[in-house]
Amino acid sequence: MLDAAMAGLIAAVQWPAVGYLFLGIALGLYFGAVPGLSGLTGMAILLPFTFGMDPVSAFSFLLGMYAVTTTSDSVTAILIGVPAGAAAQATVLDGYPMAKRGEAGRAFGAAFTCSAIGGVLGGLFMGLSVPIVQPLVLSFAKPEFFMLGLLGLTMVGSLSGRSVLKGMTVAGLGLLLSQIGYAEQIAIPRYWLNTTYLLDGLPLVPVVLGLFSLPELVALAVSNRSISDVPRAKISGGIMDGVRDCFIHWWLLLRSSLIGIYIGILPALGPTIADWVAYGHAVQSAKDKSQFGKGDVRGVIAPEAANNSVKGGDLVPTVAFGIPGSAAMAILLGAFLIQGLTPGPEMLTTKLHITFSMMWTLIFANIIGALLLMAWANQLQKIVFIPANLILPGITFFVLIGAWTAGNNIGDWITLLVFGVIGLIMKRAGWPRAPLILGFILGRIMENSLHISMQAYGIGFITRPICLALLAAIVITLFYAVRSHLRMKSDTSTVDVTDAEAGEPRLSLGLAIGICLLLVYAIATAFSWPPIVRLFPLAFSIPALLLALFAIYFDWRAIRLAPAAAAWSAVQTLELTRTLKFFGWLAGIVIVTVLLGQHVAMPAFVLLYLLVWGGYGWKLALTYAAASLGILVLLFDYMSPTIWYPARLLRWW
Amino acid sequence: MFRRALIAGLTTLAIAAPGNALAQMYKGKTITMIINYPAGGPTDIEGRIIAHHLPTHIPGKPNVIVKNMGGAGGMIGSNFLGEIAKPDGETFGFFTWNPIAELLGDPGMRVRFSAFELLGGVQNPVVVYARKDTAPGLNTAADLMKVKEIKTLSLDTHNTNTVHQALALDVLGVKFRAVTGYKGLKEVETAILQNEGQLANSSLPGWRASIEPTMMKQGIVIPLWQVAPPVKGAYPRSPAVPEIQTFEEYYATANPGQKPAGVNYQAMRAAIDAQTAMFRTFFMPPKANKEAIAIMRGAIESLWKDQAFIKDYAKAVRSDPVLVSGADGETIMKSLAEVSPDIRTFLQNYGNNLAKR
Repeated sequence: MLDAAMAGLIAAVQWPAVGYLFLGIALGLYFGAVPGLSGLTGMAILLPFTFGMDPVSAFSFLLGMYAVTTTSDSVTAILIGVPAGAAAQATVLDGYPMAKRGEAGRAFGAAFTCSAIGGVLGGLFMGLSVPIVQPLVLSFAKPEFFMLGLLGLTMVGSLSGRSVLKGMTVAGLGLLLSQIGYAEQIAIPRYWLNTTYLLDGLPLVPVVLGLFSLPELVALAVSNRSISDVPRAKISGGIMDGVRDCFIHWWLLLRSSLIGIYIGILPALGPTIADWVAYGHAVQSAKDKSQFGKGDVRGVIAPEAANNSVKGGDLVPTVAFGIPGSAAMAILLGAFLIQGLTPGPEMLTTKLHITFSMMWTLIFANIIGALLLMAWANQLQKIVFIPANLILPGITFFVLIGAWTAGNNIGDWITLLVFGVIGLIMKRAGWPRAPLILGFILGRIMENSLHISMQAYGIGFITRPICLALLAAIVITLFYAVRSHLRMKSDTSTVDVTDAEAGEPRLSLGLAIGICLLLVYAIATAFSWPPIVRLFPLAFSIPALLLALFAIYFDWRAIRLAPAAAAWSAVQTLELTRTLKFFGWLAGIVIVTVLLGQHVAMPAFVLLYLLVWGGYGWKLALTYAAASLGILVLLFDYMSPTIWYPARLLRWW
Repeated sequence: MFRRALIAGLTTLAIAAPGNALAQMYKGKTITMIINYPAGGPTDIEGRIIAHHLPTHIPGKPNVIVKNMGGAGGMIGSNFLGEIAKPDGETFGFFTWNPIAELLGDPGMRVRFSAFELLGGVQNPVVVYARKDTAPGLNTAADLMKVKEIKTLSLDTHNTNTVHQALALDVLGVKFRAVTGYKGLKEVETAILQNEGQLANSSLPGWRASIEPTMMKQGIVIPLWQVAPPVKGAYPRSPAVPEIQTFEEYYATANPGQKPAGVNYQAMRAAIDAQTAMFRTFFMPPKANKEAIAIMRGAIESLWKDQAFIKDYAKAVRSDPVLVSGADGETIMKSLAEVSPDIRTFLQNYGNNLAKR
């Protein structure tokens, strides 16, 4: 085995493999950092280029690229609150608030360091465990997936802060949203509003961008301040502080890396889930939760370590059994086939050196990628001091592109806007948003797993040994969550966690009523479906409806007890007006796109926003608009061909 | 009829004289190939190999770029091609299609497969396999008949894969419990490895590139039969898997002197024949430019004579690709339209009842 490890090392550092590794890393940093692209996109685009390569070069190229996308995707998550890829979603929760208080450098230091360490640990694990991990992979079938989903849902408590009732209600809403589209059991579409777009369910990226990024964009547009709340002269926390944070919280870093590896090993789960689970774990296990959601560096360390280490874990079932650990690994399986390799025993015997070359590639790429980003971090963090109205068109541009590339469908933009409004209301009303994403991600996995488990094993699936162990973990987690919640209630010095701060009671009441009506509609609609299709939606919609009714009662009581606090102020009216105007601009982009296409709508938005809203001159506005058109053409027409909306009046493609 | 004759004539012209004025319409253009499944799946891998080699066979050597539009069982991509893509010959689809959806209709299907312009297809048999440790033990395929009950794994209840698998077992009289709802055949393969169920289907690439080397050669599963594509009314073994017996051969061994017959068998063949005869399909939008159809049909036929393409394809799929010409594809599509209303109703009810069994 040592000989194979050395042979793998030599193969990985030999020319041309090492050249492809560096090229892959450079492309990976790009694919990771640009919202709308990702490691998955990179994998699909680069795969055909490996046709003529030898196997080690091909895997150095692809894995070098893939390894670092989850390092560079934290750049936009921290700087502008826009997760460049699905794996950086949880990083936004604390990374962006850190940037807002002038600690972008520290957040970068922490993110890049723990990404590198997590990635190296993932790579080492991959290399060393491939030959021995078979029992673990094979013992996690559908029943265990269902129980794991249930365990994931227990994190709702941690992600809800004081508003556990509201957190559980929105988790129910997230589960409901996950039910949109074809049922897994019978091809009956649910909640699809007769729209083909909804048949495959709501896409995750526009939902997350809408919930988390659009409200921040609105805040920037309304306030017209820079992202950083503190002036440049008063910034604190340099890159090295972030590096130090990683070592101070080494135990969390290690645990999060292990969570990532573990999730990676399980087939079909990937970075999207790993970062949320690691984030939830960081909050759950912290004694002082008060700063989570407000810029706690632990909220950056946990997801960033996990979303890099997950890739080493991902490779294990892919290499050992030909079972892809994630969507990107499914494409890597294509590379195996193109290279004439067969995942499985061959990769553990005659081709073991190729398996080890993958391990070395992961290790080198993670270290080199992080070092390169560290070198640029000082320049990158200057973005947070640019005036809002100057940077906002650029951020809006990337949010829209990020949402569009989810499915190249105008529905992605409508989803973005709808969830932007929902996210804004939730933020103002003091409702936690993270549990909605948790419910949304876990809903389909849980339903599908439960359905198959019941068919394959009957209710007896619960007695499988790992299921019993997971059940015990659920009970213990719930016990500690309840105890911690009760303590937090009694401790008035503790500040609320996540974004569930005290909101506007009338808005909160309105939201609770809205959710209630939605759940009533969902329940009523579900009764027209066969039992097998309606079972899961009903199983959580009915309890969620009860919770929403309680939320209505508590909000109504709060308004009655303190009517003055609920009163609407003049400042709020002004903010609302500006918010509506900003959404008017976004709606304008959609309308112009439908008529004239994105190549007109997006540069036109940049131009007009700078002139009209920002009050900048023609010269700057025209240059900015031309640059946005250039990015559209260069990055999204030529480098990663994108299907644009076929405009009614003008066809670009 | 005239349109078909014209396309056939133009195809001949496009193959015979690639440098002529008709064939220059793609010079300097970019052609988009829509794949109706996500990146990384078997459809995608085959599609990307085709996209890599196709440009040199299209006169004018245009760029061919790939766009994955997966979702809703392939419907998102096919709806896009049918409703949104311009019929100017610059967009075509490489699809895994679902003949049952064509037969029975589907709430999400806004454009029927038969409405598209068919450029060609790729033939593939389906392989049915089972775990050897299924009680009382499957040392040979014939031992399946001794099994008291077997759990079968498949996709949703109205998918061609699921329905033909269940019907085949009903024809044989094997008692089974259908476990449905897996999202793809790769997931099914994983579940078989985990012993969640014992019997499943695979496409040819799945069998050759994954199941055969990782599960069959390890002694975990054995192939039971292949569902072979129809050839002139018979079902001879596919040359892609000559070592595996056909379903008809299996039936004849299990029931000496008899041939499979009856409504279950008719429905099974109605469900699967079009699929195996043309597993992957090349489509252009309805009413696409007829010159473009002719050129692309010619280019696909020319691609199949390209040894570099055959080598790359065979390396990934572990079997030479079998082309279905556009004209033959149209005949297959027509055969679906001839399926009787009784069989259609039977299939609809069969799918509905499968989940309740």
